[in-house]
Amino acid sequence: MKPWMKKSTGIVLFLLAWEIVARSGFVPRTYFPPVTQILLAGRDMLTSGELLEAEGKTLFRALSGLLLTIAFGVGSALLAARYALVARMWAPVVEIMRSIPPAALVPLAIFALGLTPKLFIGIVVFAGFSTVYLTALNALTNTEPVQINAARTLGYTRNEMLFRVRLPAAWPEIFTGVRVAAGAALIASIASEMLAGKDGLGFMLFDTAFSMRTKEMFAVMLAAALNGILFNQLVVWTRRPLAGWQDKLNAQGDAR
Amino acid sequence: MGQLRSVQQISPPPAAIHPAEHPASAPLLWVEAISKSLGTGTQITKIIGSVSFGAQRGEFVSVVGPSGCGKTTLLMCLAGLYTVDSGRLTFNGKAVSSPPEGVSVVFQDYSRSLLPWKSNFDNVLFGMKRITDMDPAAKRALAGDLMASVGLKGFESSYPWQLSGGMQQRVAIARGLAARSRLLLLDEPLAAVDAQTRAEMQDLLLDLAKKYDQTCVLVTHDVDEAVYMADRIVVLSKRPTTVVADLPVSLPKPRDQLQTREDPAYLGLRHKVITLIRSMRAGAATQES
Repeated sequence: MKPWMKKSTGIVLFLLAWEIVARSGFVPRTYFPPVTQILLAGRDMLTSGELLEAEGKTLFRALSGLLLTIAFGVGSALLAARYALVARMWAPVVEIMRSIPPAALVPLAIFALGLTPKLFIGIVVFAGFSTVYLTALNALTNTEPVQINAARTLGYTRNEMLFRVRLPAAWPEIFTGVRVAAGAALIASIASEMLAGKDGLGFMLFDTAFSMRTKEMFAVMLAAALNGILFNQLVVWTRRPLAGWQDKLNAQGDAR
Repeated sequence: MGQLRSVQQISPPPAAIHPAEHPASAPLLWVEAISKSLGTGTQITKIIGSVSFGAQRGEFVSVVGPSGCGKTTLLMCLAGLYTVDSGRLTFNGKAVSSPPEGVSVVFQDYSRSLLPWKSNFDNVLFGMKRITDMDPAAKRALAGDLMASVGLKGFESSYPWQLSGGMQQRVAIARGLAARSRLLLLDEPLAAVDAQTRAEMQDLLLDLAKKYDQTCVLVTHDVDEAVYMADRIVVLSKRPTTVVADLPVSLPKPRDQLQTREDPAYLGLRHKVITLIRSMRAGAATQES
């Protein structure tokens, strides 16, 4: 049996069990509709276009927010790694930011940014920035001293060293931070839409749930899950050219 | 971190030799009564007491001493990675206060000194940072030649971590030569490779030093290696380091793993150096007790 067959057998069995339990009347059908009905509801929402539109909006907010998070996070970590003063000045600010739950920022953000895409993107950036910044700074300041010394004897200046030795060496660790930030971005985009949105998957989840349209609610959840898978795949694809060497090196180490 | 010690950086010795005072026959590397302490505050330890020696153009100087005698600190000073506290250190007539052009270092820890995200070929190219008079094509040609010279033709596109220890160190040597070095500083470069590879690499290093006209300073704790490779041996004391002996080696060249190592002069010198190091260790033991 091929691996994909094993995996899909698991999913099929799970969905089958769901269908049987839901139809048996063991759980209230209003809250746990059978899978087939969820899929039919999802198909109707797809053909009407409302699901795709919401999914696209949420994906755009999460993705552009994540890209900004990476740009700000890695950019400021580069500055902090190069100038110790920046690192010291930033440290308490980031520490405070880190202790505020992103959702707690929503009321303030509504006033500051208005009910615009900026609001959702801002919350997404806030949710992931400190993680990316801190992992990137840690990675950038823990470069192998021998690599630094070797580059110094070959005539590399501090700025050249930052971009040609310290940053490439740091990518694998930075991507662990990016992966966490990607998860946070998905949560933050949905949560902020729930709290302040008038569209998007988060808004639709609340909208369908509060009007007891559970079949539709499950269909939206499924769409959110698809976003999650797509997001994860994007991180994997971007990571490969920058940090793929680390995986191959590790695999080599395991083989020896 | 070495690069952050600019605060305590001392100005280079005022008596930097002018070219006029520095004829071509003068030593390429000149070390005169240098000292170096490491650490900060109350944790300052004097590592190098007073060390003086020189290396003539084309000379191969081995530096040996008891373990923990500050050999690596000395090499870091020679490389310009540490600034000396006092004394005079010149390369090619100029005071060394930062890593000078023309000096390449081969570090003991090859697996950490090479850049794992670059192919072997790109690691060699990485050594050509200071070369400005060559176009990219010429640099690539030189890198290819160097890969062949260290016996790694065919391994250009693989990565350092796919190679054995000895082969990684060959890449590191090629990278050092790629900087068009005149002085190669070798920090126990073969300490981590197996005995058979070590003998092979010793001969490779001697060949390369000749072919690329390199002056070499080899820092090692392996007395056999020190004697086998050297034109001169500098024996260091334990910390704070001073020079105990500066011995010429008059063994015929090229060296041969069998003939040289059976030469009575080789055995005599080896005996002498080991006796010196052992006496220092015995001295240390009585002092401690």
